[in-house]
Amino acid sequence: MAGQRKWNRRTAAFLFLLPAILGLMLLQLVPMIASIVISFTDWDLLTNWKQANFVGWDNYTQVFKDEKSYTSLLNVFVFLIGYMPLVMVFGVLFAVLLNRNIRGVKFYRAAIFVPVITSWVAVSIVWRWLLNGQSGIVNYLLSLVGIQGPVWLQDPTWAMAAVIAVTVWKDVGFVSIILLAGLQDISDDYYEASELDGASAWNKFRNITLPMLTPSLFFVMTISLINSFQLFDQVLIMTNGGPAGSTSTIVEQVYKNAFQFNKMGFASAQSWVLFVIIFAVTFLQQWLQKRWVVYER
Amino acid sequence: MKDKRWTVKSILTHIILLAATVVLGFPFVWMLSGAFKDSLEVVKMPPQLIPSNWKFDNFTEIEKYFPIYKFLLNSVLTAGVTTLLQLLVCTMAAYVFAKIPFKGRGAVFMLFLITMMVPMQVTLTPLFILFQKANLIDTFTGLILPGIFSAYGTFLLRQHMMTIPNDLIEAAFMDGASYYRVFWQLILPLIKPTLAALTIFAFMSSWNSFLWPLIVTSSKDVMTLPLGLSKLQGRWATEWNILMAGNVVSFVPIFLVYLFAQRYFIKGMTMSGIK
Amino acid sequence: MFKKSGAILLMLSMVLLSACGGNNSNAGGSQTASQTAGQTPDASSQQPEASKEPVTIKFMNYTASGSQEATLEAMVKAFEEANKDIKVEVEVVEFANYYTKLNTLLGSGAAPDVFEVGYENFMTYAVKDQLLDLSPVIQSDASFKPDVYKKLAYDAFNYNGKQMGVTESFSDVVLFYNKDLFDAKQVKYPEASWTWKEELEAAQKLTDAKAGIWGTYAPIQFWEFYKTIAQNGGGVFDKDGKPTVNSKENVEALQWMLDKAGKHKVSPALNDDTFNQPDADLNAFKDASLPCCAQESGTSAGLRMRPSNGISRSSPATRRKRTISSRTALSLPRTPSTRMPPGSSSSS
Repeated sequence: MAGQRKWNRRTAAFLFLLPAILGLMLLQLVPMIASIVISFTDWDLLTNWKQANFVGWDNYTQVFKDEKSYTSLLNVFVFLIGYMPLVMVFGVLFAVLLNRNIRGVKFYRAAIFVPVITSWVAVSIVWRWLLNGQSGIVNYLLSLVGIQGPVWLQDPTWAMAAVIAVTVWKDVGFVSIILLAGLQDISDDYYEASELDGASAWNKFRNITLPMLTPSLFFVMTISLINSFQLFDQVLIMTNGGPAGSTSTIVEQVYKNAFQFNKMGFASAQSWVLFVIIFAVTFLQQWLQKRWVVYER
Repeated sequence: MKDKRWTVKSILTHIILLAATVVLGFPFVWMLSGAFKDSLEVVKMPPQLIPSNWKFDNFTEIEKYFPIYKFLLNSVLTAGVTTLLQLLVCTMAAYVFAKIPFKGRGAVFMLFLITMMVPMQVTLTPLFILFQKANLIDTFTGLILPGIFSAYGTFLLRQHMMTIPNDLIEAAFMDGASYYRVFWQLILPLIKPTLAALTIFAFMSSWNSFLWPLIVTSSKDVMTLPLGLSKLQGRWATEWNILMAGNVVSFVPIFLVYLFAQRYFIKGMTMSGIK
Repeated sequence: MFKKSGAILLMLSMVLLSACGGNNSNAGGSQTASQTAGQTPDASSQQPEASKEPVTIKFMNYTASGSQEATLEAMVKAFEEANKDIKVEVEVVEFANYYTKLNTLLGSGAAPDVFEVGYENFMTYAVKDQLLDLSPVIQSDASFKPDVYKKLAYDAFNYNGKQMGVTESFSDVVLFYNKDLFDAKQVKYPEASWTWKEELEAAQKLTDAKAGIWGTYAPIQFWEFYKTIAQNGGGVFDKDGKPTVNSKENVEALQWMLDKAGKHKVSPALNDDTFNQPDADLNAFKDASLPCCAQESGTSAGLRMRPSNGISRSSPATRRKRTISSRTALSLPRTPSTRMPPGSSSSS
């Protein structure tokens, strides 16, 4: 009986995994391998790819020599440090509040989710107005408390802060929804049992909610981390990598190198260096998860 | 049952959520107001919230720039099919990663995660060449196919599936259920909130996708909405009010999907706990 | 305001897709051929079309994006009428993403038959041999007279003696000025003979910081830079082709651009966010808070400004006057294997 089940298990695993594996291989792995190969060439994108020349490790050495690589990496780290804590804290806060059965909760949920749905183009147009140095609302509100706001998107010191703020604004709904789904999964039994033992609200949060939320938190953290390293849309549209390179990110450079500066080979090399970085960080996170993520066993 | 009492806790909750609503919702209101302004007022500095010159035909004027309602349909088709297929493929894969161990499963899962770590800007071109050879350029299949496989989706589902108690599954096997039945009748109903979340995200991601549709489509029969909206920005000048109207139109379907899916977030619809 | 009359010609060129190198597939040619040509690795030679069926050419363009697609369609229809054996499939991609798409198509061997290229990018394609040399076609076609085009615009697309593109359009730099504001301060209207000195004088009289009116405005950008340096007699290269970016004339010109805002305060301050919004200068002009602004107008794409707009303040008759005769030209590429009478290009 057990033996048969093992056979069934392997077949089941295979069958259920098959469509995804096919997709993975054809749609992801093949292009990835192709781009690795390209990273060893000097392909400029506009001449035929079959005519590109092999240049060995040149592109990679160039990546490490390029000052902009380091600036962009630094920018990404700055973004990470600002973005992750903010989005997680607000995400948990809103998720917990939205989980309550109060009046109008559906309205609140929808409102918080609206920025997520809106496209980056629309979002950046609106935020450029709001962040306008002279006539934007942000600076107006600041002036009410006596602060003279900077010209956000033009100031090398503050442009990244603006990008972080806008990204948190846009993503917090996403994080909340994921965490909300995770909260919904927590069985009421746990709470009831703890109430019988006389647990306070904070106790319940700390000992039940938070631990049971860790799988979702882990997911959010991993995704946020990977997305942060790949920061692209908003810096391209809102600040175009400026001012003075203060919001230039790796993927933004990859994009420009590939499609504007005719350096597809170099851009591919940049992407793969980025990949190694992301991989290392994610691996670290995965390894750490054993220490703090609680799965039902 | 909605709790209608006004406790300190609930008042505080309302205040915080109201503040959040204002901050998060205001820019959208702004966009909405821009959609009803005329082309001069929309760029006036300092900006005004309520249009003084209400203009209702921005929404029909968009047609002059590109066939927006055709593109809308294309987007609905593409995003809809992509979402459904993605849900199917990813839940199946996640099931394996969460509950069906086999030798090397961890490595395969890692492989999935790896695909998320490479910027798509450089895999775009090889993929295009591949699709070109397969004659999938400028087709709906070409648009939909890359969207079906999603490591994010698989990852999300796997995380949630892992929280399902193994005892439940064992019990089902004891009762003679097959892997297939366990999947459809046990696992899936238990992860409804996550399925709902994934529906929204898959749809949204496909809906707003720009770079791939830009490269893979050339004829208006298959083009999607973001491509059309970008056409509203000309080389030298842009009609901002029309652009805002276009973005509002683009917003509506995703919002509808959200409204539909968010019902599944309500407590009580999930079967939690041991039966 | 008016500057010295230096003529800077900025031209965009027409580029042709070339079937250069054995492996670069013929993306051109007839509709059926283009699908298969992509597969055959050695479609090196041109295949002259002998069929009587209408040939379909794919045409890619960016100028029409944003409001002119209907105009382009009308042009295409007229062309198809005049040349019954050719059908044109148009694809309009907005400028911001145009080259992304074009390059991807070129690199994968799926390029359109004819495409538009701006002068600023022409060289890249010419140097990499991605364009078809039109000279033989031009020579063999008696009905095609290059004189139809403005010489400088046409010659700009001549690379190493080969004509790689044909002019599609070019733009002029014009100066819009608000007559009402001039009248209010009793300043004389700008004239072609004006130099920077006159401009500054007028601008100083027109500027009214309290009312939020700036005397003059030209964006401080790369595109404005090389126009301005020409007004001062400078240039990016000298007559022998040596780079002179740092020349005295150029530095003076740049200083002038900056001083207008910083020193003389007749233009908005450098970090004025409002003016860095897209179209801000145009809107300020419409709003009558800017008496003068220099603009480029694409002649083929139609005038950007529609003079009789419903502007709330007294709408001036904004007269368009030539400042620098700065031209930009766009052109269309052609594919090698289409035997299109070149004369047809002038019908658009």
